[in-house]
Amino acid sequence: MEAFLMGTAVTWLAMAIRMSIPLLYAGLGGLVSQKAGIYNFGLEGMMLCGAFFAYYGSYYLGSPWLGLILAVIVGALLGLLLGFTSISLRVSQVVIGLGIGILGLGLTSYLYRLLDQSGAAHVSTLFPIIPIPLLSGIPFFGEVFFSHNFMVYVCFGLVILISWFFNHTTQGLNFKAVGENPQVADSAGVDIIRYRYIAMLISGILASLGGAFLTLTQTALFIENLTAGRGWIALAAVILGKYNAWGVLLACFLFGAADAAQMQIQVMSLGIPYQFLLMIPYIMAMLAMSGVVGKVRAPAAMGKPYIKQ
Amino acid sequence: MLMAEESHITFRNITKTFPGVLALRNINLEIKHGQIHALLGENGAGKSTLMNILYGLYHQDSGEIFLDGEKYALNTPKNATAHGIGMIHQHFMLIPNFTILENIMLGQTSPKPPKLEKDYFRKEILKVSAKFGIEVDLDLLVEEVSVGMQQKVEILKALYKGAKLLILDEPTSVLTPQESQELFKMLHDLNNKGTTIIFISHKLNEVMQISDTISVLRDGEVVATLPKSQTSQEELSRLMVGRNVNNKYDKASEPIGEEIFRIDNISLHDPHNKGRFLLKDISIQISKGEIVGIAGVDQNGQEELAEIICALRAATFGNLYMCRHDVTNSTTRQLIELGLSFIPSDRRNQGLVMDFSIAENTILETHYQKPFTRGFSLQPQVISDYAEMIVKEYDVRTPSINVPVKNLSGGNQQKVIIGRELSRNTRFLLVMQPTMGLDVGAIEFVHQRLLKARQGGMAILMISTDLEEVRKLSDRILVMYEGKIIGQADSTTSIEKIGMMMAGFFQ
Repeated sequence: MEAFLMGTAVTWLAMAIRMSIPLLYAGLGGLVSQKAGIYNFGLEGMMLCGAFFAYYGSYYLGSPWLGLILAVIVGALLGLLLGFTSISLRVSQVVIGLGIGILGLGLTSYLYRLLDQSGAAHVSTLFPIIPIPLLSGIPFFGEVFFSHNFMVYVCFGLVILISWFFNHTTQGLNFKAVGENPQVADSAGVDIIRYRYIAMLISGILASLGGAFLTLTQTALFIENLTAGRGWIALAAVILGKYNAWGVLLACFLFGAADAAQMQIQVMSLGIPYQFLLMIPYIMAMLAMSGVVGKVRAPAAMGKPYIKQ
Repeated sequence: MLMAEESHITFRNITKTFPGVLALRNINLEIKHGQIHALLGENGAGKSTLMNILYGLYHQDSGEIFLDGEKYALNTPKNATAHGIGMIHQHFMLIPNFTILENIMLGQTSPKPPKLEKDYFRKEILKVSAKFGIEVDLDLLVEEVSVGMQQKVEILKALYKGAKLLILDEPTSVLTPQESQELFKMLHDLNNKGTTIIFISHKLNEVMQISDTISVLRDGEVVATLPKSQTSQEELSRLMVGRNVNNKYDKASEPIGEEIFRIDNISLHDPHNKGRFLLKDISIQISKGEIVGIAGVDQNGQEELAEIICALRAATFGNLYMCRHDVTNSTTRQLIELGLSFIPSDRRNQGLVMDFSIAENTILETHYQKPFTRGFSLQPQVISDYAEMIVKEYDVRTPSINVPVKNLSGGNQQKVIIGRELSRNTRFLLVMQPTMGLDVGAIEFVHQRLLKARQGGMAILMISTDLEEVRKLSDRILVMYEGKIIGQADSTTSIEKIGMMMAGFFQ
């Protein structure tokens, strides 16, 4: 019995990590753009495009690496699209973000149907799991933390990198100033427009990688609306994580754990209707957005285009 | 060390226009090294515009600036900092949830990029703060410290960036009296250590207290530059206000009737600086058939007082009475139904809905009442008849009542507001800056209408920064300064005396 519980816990936690990584990529993408003062409401659309093009690259071009590169390019383009419209054209960030969401859904569904007319599933190649030598041998922890594919490790590395960047570099301070008060940053000699474009470029790539993670390491398939609202949950994770990279990590893990739990409970068939379980991550996201975590302070200049005098 | 008599900054023939306004006309001014030089003038006299040009926020249309005798052509904020010019704006350029240290080091080049090197900057900033005797706790968040302290941070930031010339734009307007005195002491210390200071103010007593030389600006021109030792508050006040006073209007003196509106001991806390009052113990009584004028320089609490009267803002202490009712906690709509009309100073944002037609704007506050609404539906015919009446009666020049008001000129927009506010059953009229930005003809029209309303028995409270207007129209004049009523006058009181009260100089 004890071994069974232990095994269940290991499976659950390892699955929780796998479920939280796509959220974390997209959440970090949302964090970077919001720190620079731009809402990325396009996360969902960017993830979906990333998922599709990664799948396309992996299946039709034959290598998950080509899929990954394709996803990076598509993410960068979508990030720049949102950047150009919101920074240079000063269109409402909400409208463009939602537009990218709709575009992502429509475009990927359409392209997928063009590809897949037979109805048969086309399984692509996945990135292999790379157990880390020695560490993966540790009982319990080894299996939970150190037996994943390389995209998981990279994502944790990004959390450390982004946190260090915002707190310990000159550019990080400039970046935050751009999101807090562009007038002040401008008068201190910081190039607002450049920082915001860079933020959107990175944000788009990260969100797209979140989608790519799904098709390149988990599903090996593409289906319509594969991301199923994960981009929105990632957005909630940015707020729940209080605009801090480690906070976003924790928030994403929480959502991932909830998702993993509902899957396991379904498997165990405890008699709870699975629809209720499916709701769990979304309900948690709603609670997060409605302020149960206390006062969260968004960057002050969020959503406002900067017009130089 | 440069000689004190050498010129630090020289302005030659600086002219600047904004759309439709000549802000600066041929300014010639010399600021000498090591002096505290005050720029004194009313709102809109051009003091801030001139300094914003020096700091590079605006550019002159023509004219030249010389720095230490050499032509200073590329005036941008970045270049100003590089040339030792620092400016402390009225609104601080600080990020509230950054620490003081982070605010000062923002934009500075790190000695070991890309690392932030906070400790290096901390040492460097502390050196500067020790040199000038400015004590701040670098690790506090800006939002945690008082407004006075934030101003110190701004000054320290400018000094750290190498400012030899400090421009302070109305620095005391956000401070308590004690904080102001501390600021003056600090400015004197800085000055003794060789910093040239340009001090923008409209307050006579401050200017007399702090400066070596005083330049008075009026309507975009320098009317005089005087050493403090050779002038007096009286002279400065005359120079500052002194425009020709027009003839008075013929006012039939009506017997003053019953009390209509009473402001009883109203006080208001400054939400951004605890311990400071925006309004303090204001009591005014306005009776039927009189115009009470409130004179004062802008930003001395007039806006807040008007908002309290209209129930747009709650007072911290005090009561309001209208027609013998206690209306302290009434809503704006209840006041309107009791007979309040309000002509706001900001006609574009507060007075009108710019995208609505003239007809819609004429019924803004009474649209829900009969005859404009019956049951659930607006009555288009009634509304357009009413609007036509107002357009005719108040001489609004427009092709049609269906034109959006944003297409009208400022004067015609104001006529729409005045028509609306005076055409209902008004007993008490609050009017702010009724003629700001209007041409001479429109000004005359508005004044005549206000006098006619007074004649008809309306009680009118007029708040205006235009002293001439207040003197011409008011039966009684109250002078407001730093949130207090500091004096009473009437139309026979000399303009110099009122001007001095407006600048905070009173017995």
